[in-house]
Amino acid sequence: MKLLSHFPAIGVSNTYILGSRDGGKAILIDPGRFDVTLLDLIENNNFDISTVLVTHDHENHIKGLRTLMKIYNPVIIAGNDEIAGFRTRPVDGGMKIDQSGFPVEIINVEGHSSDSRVFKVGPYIFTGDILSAGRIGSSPSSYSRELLIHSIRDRLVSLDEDLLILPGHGPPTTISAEIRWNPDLRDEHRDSAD
Amino acid sequence: MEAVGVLENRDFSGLDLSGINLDRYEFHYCRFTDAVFAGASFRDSQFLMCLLDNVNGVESIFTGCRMMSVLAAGSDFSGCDFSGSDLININFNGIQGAATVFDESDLFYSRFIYAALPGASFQDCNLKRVDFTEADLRNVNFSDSNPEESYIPHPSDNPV
Repeated sequence: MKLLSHFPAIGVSNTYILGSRDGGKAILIDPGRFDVTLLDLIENNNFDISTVLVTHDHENHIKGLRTLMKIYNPVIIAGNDEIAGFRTRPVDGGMKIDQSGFPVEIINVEGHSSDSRVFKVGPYIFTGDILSAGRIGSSPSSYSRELLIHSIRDRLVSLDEDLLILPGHGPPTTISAEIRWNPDLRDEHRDSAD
Repeated sequence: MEAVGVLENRDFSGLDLSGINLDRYEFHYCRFTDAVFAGASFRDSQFLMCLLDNVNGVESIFTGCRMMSVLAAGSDFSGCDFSGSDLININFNGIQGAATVFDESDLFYSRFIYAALPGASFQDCNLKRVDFTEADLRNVNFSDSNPEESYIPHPSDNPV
């Protein structure tokens, strides 16, 4: 499995690509911005983007989708049945699907947006806005925030601590790093959040 | 400046690389988790999407480096020199960085949450959108930098 990352200075939303070392069918996660750098990344590795995973339908995570569809016409996997006018294959928590030759596990984490989906593929977890290095996603209310913290603890923190978290914003992290250095997930705050 | 070598998808986890000289190497998607490279030299090297978490890199030299989207959480970089580097979108959460030098570096979008940085120097740096939440910033030098564009929680943000 080969992982590639794209961090555009404009928009600062991460896009990731997962494929095999030999090229061919690949998965792209969150096409926040489609630019020449991303195109080079795909083409120089001989990838054919056959699947797009959308963590949630916010513009800074899908703005590059229209261009991507014109070039590669991939299947879109998302929480909603339509993204930016394109039909998707809607998925929900607990589902396990095979896409572009990779098993994809879907995890629901409530509290950020109703269509948010976390995708686990091999040793990687793509969290979108749900969880990033030292931060959790924004929430519309204090209730939603507590729900988000509880859901992250219940469904993500309980996973293998060595899994690599690849967030929609910010640098990569691990479950173990978040347990130690995420202000909202540290044990000292557990009593007030639970 | 031409790279001496490009290493991609290599696993250096747990290795003792103390004192090694890897100046002007490029590391793409490499893993150094739990490695020891105290006193090593990585001048003008590149680290793209690498994992440098929980490493012992005390007093290593990273001057002129280009790092992008790197996980370096929990590492000991005390006394390291990162001067003149691009350190973009780096996870420095929980690092030990006493007297570490970041002068003349671009740290855009990097995170130092719960980092221990007493006596560190960020002179003439770009600190736009850098997150210092809960960091130990005693005696840190921010001269000629833009800490006002970073996130440094003020005690009044959390009134008792």
